Amino acid sequence: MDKKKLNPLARFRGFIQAGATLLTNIHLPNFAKGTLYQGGGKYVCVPGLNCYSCPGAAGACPVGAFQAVVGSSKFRFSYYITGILILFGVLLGRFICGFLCPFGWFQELLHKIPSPKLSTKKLKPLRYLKYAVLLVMVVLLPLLAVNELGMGDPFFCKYLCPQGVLEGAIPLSLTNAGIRAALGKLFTWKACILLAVIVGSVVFYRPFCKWLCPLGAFYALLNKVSLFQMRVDTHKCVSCGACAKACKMDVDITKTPNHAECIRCGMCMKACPTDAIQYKFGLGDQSNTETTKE
Amino acid sequence: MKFNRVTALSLSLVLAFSLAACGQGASSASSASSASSSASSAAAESKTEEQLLAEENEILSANDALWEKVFSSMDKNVTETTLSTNYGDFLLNAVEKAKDQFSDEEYKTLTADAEKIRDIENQIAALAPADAAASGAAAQGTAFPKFEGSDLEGNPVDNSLFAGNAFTVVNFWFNGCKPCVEELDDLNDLNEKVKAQGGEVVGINTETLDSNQQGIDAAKKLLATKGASYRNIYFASGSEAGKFALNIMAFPTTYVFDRDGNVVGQPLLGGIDKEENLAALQKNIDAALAKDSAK
Repeated sequence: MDKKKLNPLARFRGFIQAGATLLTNIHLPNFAKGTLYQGGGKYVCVPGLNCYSCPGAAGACPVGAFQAVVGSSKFRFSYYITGILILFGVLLGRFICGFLCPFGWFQELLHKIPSPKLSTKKLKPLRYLKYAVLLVMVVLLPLLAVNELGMGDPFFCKYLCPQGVLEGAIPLSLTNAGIRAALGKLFTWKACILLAVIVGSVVFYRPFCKWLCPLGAFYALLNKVSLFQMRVDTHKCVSCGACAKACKMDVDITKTPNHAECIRCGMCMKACPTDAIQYKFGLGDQSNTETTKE
Repeated sequence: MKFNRVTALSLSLVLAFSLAACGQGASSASSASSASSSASSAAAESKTEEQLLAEENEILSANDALWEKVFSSMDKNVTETTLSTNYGDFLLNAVEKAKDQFSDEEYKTLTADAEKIRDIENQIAALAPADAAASGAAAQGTAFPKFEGSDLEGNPVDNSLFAGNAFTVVNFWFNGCKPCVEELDDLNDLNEKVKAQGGEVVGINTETLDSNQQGIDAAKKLLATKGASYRNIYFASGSEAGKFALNIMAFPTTYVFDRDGNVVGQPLLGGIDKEENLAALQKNIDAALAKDSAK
């Protein structure tokens, strides 16, 4: 590690991720009891992908809540949850993926397991898959594939989400015999997805975030307009290309500092020999505003 | 760097363990379920109960070989009904049935052991009500709590509901729950079918608690659309019965209660529009019927 004055956010990112995961799942005794927290906190969404059915969960998953509302017979669209998501997206964008999402942290920890690491540069087209997941599984299917009473299924939660298995099905079935007895083919299928994501995360960096996560897709759409941005000082930049090499999300920050895939992890800032890359928060012209202290 | 390695190693270990634990849980689900549920409920309750249970185990292990013989002679199918009877009585019964396999001496020690266990079970039973009131989780214990409520038409209903039936199937649901709504017609069919056996299906919709008019109207509409005419009841959410209903985390959940309002078997999670779920529920119903006719 070099002794540069790195922004504390980037420096302590691992701790922030751990803290966010803990706060998101603060009801720890519920893991032993095999029960869910069902209080008022569950009316609010957490920023990251975190299953409502995790025994420790302090809030609802925005993706799950959105599908539940859209899929209900009473409503066609969830203004409340979309509003919260836009707020999160405009304030922080994919900073949430890099710092606050428990499932992002989980994948990153897995990536620390020593193994041959593969680049995802050639797999860039797969990135668009997550927008399809967002549109089809989170919005369209719960809205349109309904029974005679106008009730839909939360397709993403039901058929795809590995976080639901990791945080919901596995801990609950360990302590609750009734839930264990209810595990069926769907559980096997989703456990396979979870296993694939786990193995994938060891060799690739954050494969689920890059290719499948509908929440990441939503925040990606708002990344360009979010208040949290990256700024590259062109006077300091020596065009060495170290940042692009260091980026595990395959972004060239000098060309597109606010790319939809940038999760603000700050690895480029660590790699930059001239400290040309900074975080910037707030409104205003990118080249003139001084928001981060040198 | 070293820290990274350690984190990685410990994480992979945790993963491996969790997967192993999960796999085992799934494969031996049915056999382990009753054992683990009793273990977890024991952990939730006071220490004295643990000590009492330990005493029971000591008694059994003292004459291990003899008891093994008794256990192997038992009819495996009756275990579900025995969950709510005194374990000591149950053992006495089993010893009685396998009497010819033992000498007089052996028979005496076995009955003495079983009687000791019956006494301990009674002590445990005396402890239980206090625990049930103390913790919400224990409210999902063995009996349906005392309640006074009404059906969706406003007719009063209370615990006497159970006494009037050989068994009562209680289905917990809510209006926004798709799998719940989709099994309403199947539950109605079941109700028609079990009427002849002296059984009844009763629905409890958590959105109708506290006579919430909006919830009741919505529930009535759904029941009508699905052609379901069996009784649906509600009570105050703050009552013990209300806590029982609101402590349920997965919907639909369907319980079978006997004439005394005691739970029979494991509650079923999932709709009975699926064949395997209906079969699981039928097992509980059969157990309840067998128990009722044995009286």
